[in-house]
Amino acid sequence: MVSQDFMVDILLVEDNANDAELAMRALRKNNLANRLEWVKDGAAALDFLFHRGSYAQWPKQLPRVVLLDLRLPKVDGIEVLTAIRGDPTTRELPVVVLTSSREEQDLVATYQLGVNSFVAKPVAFDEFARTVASLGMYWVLVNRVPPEIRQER
Amino acid sequence: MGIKAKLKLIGLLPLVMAVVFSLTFYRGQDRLDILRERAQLAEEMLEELRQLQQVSRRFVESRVNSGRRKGYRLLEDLDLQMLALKASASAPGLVTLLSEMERRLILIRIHFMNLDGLSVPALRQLDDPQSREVASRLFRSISELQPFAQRLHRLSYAAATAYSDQLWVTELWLFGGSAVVVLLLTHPMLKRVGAAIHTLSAETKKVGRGGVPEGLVLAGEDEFAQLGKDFNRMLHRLAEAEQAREQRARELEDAVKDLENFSYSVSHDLRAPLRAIDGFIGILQEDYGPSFDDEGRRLFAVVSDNAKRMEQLIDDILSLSRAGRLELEQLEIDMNGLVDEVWATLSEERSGRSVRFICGDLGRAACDPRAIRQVWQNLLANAVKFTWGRDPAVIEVSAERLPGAIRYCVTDNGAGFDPAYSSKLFGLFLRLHSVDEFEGTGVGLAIVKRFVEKHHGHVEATGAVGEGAAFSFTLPTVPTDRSQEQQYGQSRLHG
Repeated sequence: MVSQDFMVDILLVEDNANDAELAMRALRKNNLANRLEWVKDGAAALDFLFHRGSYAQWPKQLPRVVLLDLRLPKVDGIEVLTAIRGDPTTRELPVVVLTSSREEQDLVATYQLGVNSFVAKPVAFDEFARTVASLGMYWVLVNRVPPEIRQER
Repeated sequence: MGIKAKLKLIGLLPLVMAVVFSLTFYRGQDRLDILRERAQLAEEMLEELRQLQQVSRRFVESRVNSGRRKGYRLLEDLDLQMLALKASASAPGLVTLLSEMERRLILIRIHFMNLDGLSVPALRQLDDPQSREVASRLFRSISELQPFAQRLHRLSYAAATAYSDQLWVTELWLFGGSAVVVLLLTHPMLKRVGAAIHTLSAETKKVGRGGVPEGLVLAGEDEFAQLGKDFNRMLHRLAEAEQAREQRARELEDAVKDLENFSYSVSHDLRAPLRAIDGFIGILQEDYGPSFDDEGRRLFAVVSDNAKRMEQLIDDILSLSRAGRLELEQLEIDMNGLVDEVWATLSEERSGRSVRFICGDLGRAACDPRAIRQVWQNLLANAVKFTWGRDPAVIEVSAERLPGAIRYCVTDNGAGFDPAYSSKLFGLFLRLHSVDEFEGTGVGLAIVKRFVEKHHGHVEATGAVGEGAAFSFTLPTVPTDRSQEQQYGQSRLHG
């Protein structure tokens, strides 16, 4: 039986601690941060998703959504997305790119890789908080995924 | 030997030929004249011998003094002719013949003189046996000489005819020979010229199609070999230039990549600290707001506003950088449709205000819709912004056909500007109003200028303080020389 403590709804991949704090605060205000795992680079994100390294002992369950930054240490966001879409177990996992970039090339590249959503982080705090909160609400509470994605393997 | 020297030689050949021809012909004619004269002399001798026969006969019969004199004259003529014949004769057969004739001529003279000595003028019709004897000897001698003279005439005539034929044959041979020589001299040269020109033109075409061919081989020592060497040297330099160009293109590509990386970093990394500033100020306000007084809260607002303004600056710099990098694609677009679309997006900015928008017939134009949409966006947004407080604000868009171009104009009745500073309007980050009066970063018109100039058009602004402004830009209606050149250059590079 999987412990409720280990259940993760949101995987936040964000190297900037301030951005992560702001995002988690916005989610917490909406009661969405209880089942959130924050990793600081792409390698850790892949470890989490593929149950490797420090996450080897964790239950083999995928989150409801991955909030992915693009500029990341070690393995960048595009590579993480490529790995997710390249593996049959994670191919259908909802991935939302949450980035500072407003470059068209990133938008095009991530959509070509099959991202579910592309959101540019607003600089204004209130706007940022609103955006992150509504993302959390939508992907955790509103959106439904095929059952096999959440199944324990 | 060089081609030039050969050509000179061939040019000289006809001259040499002409000299040889005329010399041969002249000498042949000379000889032919001698032969003909000899035949003529022989004929004359025959005639004179015949006359001498008649004269002698008459003299024997009539003893007339005039006959005697005439006989002597004829003999003298015969002597002279004999001398002339001997003077021109050199062939041994002819010399023998002539000396035979001379001997007989002397005999004739002796007989004639004997006959003369025996005659007495007073005695006519004297039947003297001695005289008869002498006369018969004289006649015999004359008739002996006659066949010789005939033979001489025949021989000389035949020789003249033969020589004339030979002369013509010689001339023909000379003519044919020189033609062959000219042909032999020109043929290899013409072949060489043909082959060299063919090779050169083929190699030149290869160069024309782009790329540098491996070089041209024209063996030998003549001008074409030299030309081949020069051509190779030129190819070499061309290759060097091409290499340098490629090097520069690579450097430029690197520079562009650097710039792209830079703007990407700006776009991504400069926003994070701003978000942190605004975010944590926001948290501070949310969590500890009640414990601050009004001044404290105003200070929060100042920090927050500046963070947002900084973000606007970053966005504007990025869009300017994108404007510079945008590769234009020309499409035929309906300008009225585009302007209406842009005007619709500005509804938020003009909400709650009374704005009259007048749009004339703008027609169609060939341009990049992304770029020109941004141009209209910036010009119309400016017009909306700077007419703030006017009631009603009037914004008018019009088009005017010029030779080779079309000019679009956005006129408003807004704050206007001091014409003294009009040159600064389109400069980057240059503003004629303070931020307190009108918000902005001073990038919008710089982007307008950049896009319009990329289309080979130009921008213009007129206005006066408090009396509104008019911003206009032109788009060429025919492809400009510069764009044609670029296309040509590109096709050459790719081709």
